[in-house]
Amino acid sequence: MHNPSSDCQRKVWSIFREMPILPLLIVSFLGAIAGVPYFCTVGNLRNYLLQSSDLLIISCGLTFVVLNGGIDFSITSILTLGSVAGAYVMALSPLAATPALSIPVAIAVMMGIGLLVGMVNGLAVTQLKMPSFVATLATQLVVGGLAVQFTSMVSATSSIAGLPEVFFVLGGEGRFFFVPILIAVAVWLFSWWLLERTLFGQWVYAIGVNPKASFISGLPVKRTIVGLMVLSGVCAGLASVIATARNGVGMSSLGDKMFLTTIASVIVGGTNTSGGHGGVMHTLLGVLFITLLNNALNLLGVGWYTMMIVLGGLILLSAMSTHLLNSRAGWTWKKGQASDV
Amino acid sequence: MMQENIRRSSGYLSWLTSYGIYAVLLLLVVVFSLGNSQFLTVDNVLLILQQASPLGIAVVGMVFVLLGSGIDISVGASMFFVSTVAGCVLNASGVIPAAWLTDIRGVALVLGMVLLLGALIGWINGMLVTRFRILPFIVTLATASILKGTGLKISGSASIGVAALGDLANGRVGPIPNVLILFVVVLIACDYVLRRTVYGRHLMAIGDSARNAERTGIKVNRNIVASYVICGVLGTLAGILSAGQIGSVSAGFGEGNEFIVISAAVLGGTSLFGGKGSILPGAVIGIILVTTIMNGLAMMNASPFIYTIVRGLIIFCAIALDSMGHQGELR
Repeated sequence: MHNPSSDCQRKVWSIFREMPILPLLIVSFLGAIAGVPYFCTVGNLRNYLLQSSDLLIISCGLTFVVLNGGIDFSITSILTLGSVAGAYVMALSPLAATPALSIPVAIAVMMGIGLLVGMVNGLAVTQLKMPSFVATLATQLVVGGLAVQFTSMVSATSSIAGLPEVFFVLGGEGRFFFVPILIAVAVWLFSWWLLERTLFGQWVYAIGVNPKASFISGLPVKRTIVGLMVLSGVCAGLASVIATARNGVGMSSLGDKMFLTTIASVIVGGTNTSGGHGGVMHTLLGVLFITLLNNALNLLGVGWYTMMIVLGGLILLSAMSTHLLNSRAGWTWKKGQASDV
Repeated sequence: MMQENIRRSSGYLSWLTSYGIYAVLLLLVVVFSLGNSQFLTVDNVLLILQQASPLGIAVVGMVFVLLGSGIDISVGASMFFVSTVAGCVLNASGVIPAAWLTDIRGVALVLGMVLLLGALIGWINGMLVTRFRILPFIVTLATASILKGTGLKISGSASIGVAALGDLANGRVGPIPNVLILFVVVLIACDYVLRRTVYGRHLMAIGDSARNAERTGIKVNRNIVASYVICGVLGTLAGILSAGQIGSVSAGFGEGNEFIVISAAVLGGTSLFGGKGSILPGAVIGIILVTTIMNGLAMMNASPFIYTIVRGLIIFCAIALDSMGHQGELR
């Protein structure tokens, strides 16, 4: 009974049950190596990790919000406004002549925008008691509109070029490809530490499972919610730095495709949308899987429209499977289920 | 003391939420007519009503879903999808007899097909929400992306002409636009369903407390699925009409319409938390207010990018007002 091999087996099984995405990721990775031409080349694998890096950063932030049963639609507009505002500071503002000054200021501006929008979201949810999905929808429209309006005011085209060369290091240009990957790993480790090893992380899970009980037992529910909305915003700001550096220009269309991929990464990773279950480990696997899919389908010549269908289907499938797994064989939906549809 | 404060503030709030919107509408009309002398003319008022009617029909559908404490953010994408399908059917030779294209039979056929498609979309949304207990905004976000992607694949992101629907959508009976008549019919029928039928009562009860409704024997899941089906049908009808008004379906058609529809419903006093709201006068006054703002901005030559910002601010204020008395969970 207690021989090491069965212990080991049980452990493996529990990991698979906890994260059904893991075997899927492994299988599809092997499939991509075997079936997709040019997938398993140094250049493409490096590209794969680069594409994962900003997605991982922004998804880590979103994971916190989803763990609370909320969602943050505004992250992609933070990405967009951050991108054009940062590019403006580095290319067009009076500071542009001295990159040593303009780059730190630009990064501060980008992350500051994330902080500010996250703060507004958090206060809207806690003080105005708005559900996060509409509060962040509204801020998404406002911030996204501001980004387009701002770009049209400072530039004749929809992008702002002329960023300093040094800045591109953050995007992993040439032999500096490891820089964004390291930043993403650092952000992921920090999020993991925050969730698994701190009191704040305990609060996030507790509030996600049962906000009422958490409030009654004296947890700072409102402060925690503001905290995780701000975290999500700041992560989006940081992702905006890296995505802008990788693209080489500040663009008002930067966040368009990120929106769906980010939400898909978190949900497909296995973080439960009704809160309290999942974590950044799930999100890491989700990000690797979604980026793999994106990368492989791209190599196969499949376009973004198909990707939209695939991502939508994956979101639905994983939300359905989460429900079926949680309700043990899926029979409980028949009664008493509609309590808070 | 505390009790008194709460009562006073909620009394003030309830006054603001029930009558504030009329005050805002009046204020806007005054501001816009001072800004442009053409604003308050019979022609422009009829134009506003004509513009408001298609989306107003969608707002009515959204009210049903919101009353059952759901939400449907796939409205914009399903408008795009069904209009694209309708455009393809109308343009493809051989699908419908050529003689039908020019008369009412072709329009009726396309309309019937599209409404069926809308019902199917709504049914799928409703089943996913009730059977699999997925949050409504996640379900409809996913279906929105599937519908948008499929529509774009069908059209190849090219613009598709739907001129055959022009007579229906732009025609007038005397001075009254066709769409306005249709809107009024939908309003009266749906208001009747909501106020006078068992289904309407049950939906209100479910939105108020699904658990209690279940205990009294109301078929919760079935009623909620029906609300999504109604929303799907009315949403696609709205999509077809507004495609007909424009005359073509471009890749960006319908984008952001879900925000207009939701904010109009909420401005009209329908709560996001379910169980509270109305079609007459709620949905009507909501869509008229939103369309007036957009029309006024257009007449004052505002930058098109401002629209998105204004739209976001409208949603934010409407929901903030709706949420203030909310006692439930924060998420």
